[in-house]
Amino acid sequence: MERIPILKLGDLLLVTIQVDMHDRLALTLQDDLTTAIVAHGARGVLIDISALDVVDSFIGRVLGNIASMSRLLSAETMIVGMQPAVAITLVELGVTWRHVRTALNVEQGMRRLRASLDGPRA
Amino acid sequence: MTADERALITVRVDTDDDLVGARALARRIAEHLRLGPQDTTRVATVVSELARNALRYAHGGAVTFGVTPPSLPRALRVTVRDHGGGIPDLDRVLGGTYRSRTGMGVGLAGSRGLMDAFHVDTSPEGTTVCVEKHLPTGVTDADVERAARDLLLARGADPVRELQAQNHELMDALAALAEREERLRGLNQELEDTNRGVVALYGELEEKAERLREANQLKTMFLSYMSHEFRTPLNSVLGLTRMLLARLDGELTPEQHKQVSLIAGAAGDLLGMVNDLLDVAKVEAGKSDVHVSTFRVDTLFATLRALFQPILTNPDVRLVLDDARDLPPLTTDEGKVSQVLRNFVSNALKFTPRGEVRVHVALVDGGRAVRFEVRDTGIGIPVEEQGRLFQDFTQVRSRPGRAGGTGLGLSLARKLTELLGGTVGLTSEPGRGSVFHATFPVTYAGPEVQGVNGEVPAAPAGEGPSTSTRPLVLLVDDNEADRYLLGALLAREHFDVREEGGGEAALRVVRDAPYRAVLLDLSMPDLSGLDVLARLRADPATRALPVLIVTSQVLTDDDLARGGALGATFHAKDRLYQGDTDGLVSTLWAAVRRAASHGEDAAGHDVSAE
Repeated sequence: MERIPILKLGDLLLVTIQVDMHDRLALTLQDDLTTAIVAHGARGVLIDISALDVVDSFIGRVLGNIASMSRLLSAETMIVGMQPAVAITLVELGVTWRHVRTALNVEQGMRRLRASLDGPRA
Repeated sequence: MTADERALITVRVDTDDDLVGARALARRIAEHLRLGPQDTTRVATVVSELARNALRYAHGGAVTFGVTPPSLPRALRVTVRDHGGGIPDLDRVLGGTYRSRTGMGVGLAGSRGLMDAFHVDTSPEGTTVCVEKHLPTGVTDADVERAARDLLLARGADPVRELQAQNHELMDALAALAEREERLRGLNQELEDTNRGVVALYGELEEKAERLREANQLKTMFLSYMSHEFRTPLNSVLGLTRMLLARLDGELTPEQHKQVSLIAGAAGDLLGMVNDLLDVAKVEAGKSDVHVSTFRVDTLFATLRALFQPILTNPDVRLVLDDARDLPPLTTDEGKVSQVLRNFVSNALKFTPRGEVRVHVALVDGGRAVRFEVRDTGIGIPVEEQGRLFQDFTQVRSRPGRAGGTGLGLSLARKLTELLGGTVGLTSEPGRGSVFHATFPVTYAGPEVQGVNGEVPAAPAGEGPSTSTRPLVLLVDDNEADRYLLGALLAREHFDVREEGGGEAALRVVRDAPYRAVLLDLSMPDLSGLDVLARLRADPATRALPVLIVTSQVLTDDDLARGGALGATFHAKDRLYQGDTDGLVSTLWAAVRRAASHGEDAAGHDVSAE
């Protein structure tokens, strides 16, 4: 069965979605990711959707859910690399995200996540 | 959605993968129609939403892409149809106030805002959603056609889908292969089982064949022993009748003469049959030796004529033997050729009530073979009987009257002919007569070609010493009748005979008198003839004594070799009783003479012609 790989970078998890996800794959990712957060004690999740041409209401909803669940597991979620057309379409579609932070690319997202994770302690 | 819409492509959406495919297809078409990145994403997203609805709520549907006719503002038109139960709360859904059980519900309403035209037609029979996106100005018919062509070409060319499809095919193929392998394994197992069965059957067959061979051998042995056992008393009967008929024991009344003649005739017939049996057994056991000599056919014919003259009792039948003086001499077994011809002739005579039996001979095969034909004017043989005629124990069923004999004659003739490298056959027509023929090679090409006849010492015809100088011979035989017959025979040939009934007794007395020779039977209850011979040879006093083994037993190669090595000669009783005593008598005389010339009192026992 197809799976989207989840990479562990210290206490961060990096997910790069490179295929046009079907619904089941999106749900699988949701399960895998929450499991991985617990397993690795990850404190942050970085989801790179720069390769996604289309994010419809379902996938948008799943991504939002992932963020909410991660938060319950005390991990921050950062979605990075969203294409402008996708962003516009999501808004037009009426999909709204809460608890989801975004960044333009992986580098920026990583930096911000690190900052917010390390910030309070420093 | 009008009839003159330019349809581009329709795809089914029945699985999640189809959904992804429809999304990708929408994107591709939008790009072809130069909708720009934003509208392309919008169209793809809307297609995704609508197709998902069809998939989730109606278990699948169809997505059709087309371009509106040129009369209208040109637009990409996407129609999604399903045959589900319809949308119950369409207005609320479109108003954006509806939330589905799954917490979704923005799809349809959101889609409306993304497109330029949006139309929903829903009923309990199904739902059709039709959306349009205006094409940028400048998109021509040629662009639409190029898009259509490209779609046609690229159908299924999406690498990921293609790979997945190939993967699926591969999996299917693998599964089919595994199944086939399983079936093959099953088949193989079955084959192996069958094979084991065949091997077992083969073994069984082999065993049966072995048993058959043993049975056949037993049969041959039985025939051989039985005929041998029969021959001994028969020979006694024949010998005794011959003595009676020769008035050796006084005059016979005419009635007695007739009766004894009948006894002799019957015994002769019986002996013939027993001999046939024995010959068959011998040939089958491979014990029949071929005695090759060179002889003339006309001589053979003369013998045949003499042989058959006495039994030609029917005045209506003539026996004609061709003139064979021009034929070259044959080098083969004269006795066997003669036996075959005798067989054919006596057969022909038996079944020919009137006319003639003609024996014809000619060279065939460029002079390499000689063909004898026995032609009769008898009752003939039906075609269907002809094939079986040369087999054992076969007699023609349709022949009227008695058919004497064992039914072995023709079979024996065939076996003897084949032994000499020849063939037999017959042509016949019922009522017109039959022709039996046998073809022999002029020269026997068998394994042992040697002139046996030439080694026989010349018979001392008319030779015989006076009574006072009669050589003394010891006759050892456990059978009283044989002793009597042989004794009489030897007495007639001017020998003094002393008889002993067993081997041990003979060994006890052999040194008591100056015996010139010993005649030994082979099978005796106390000591076999060969054992007696060995003991005689072991004793210096009797070492040089000539020994003649006189037996009615069928001799094995082993017997012959053992006896020959110890200097004995072999003589068949039945031939003696048939009057063929020359061999025995001449051998005996030669032995006696040789012994006399070597012996100390040679002069006293020298023999001279009378």
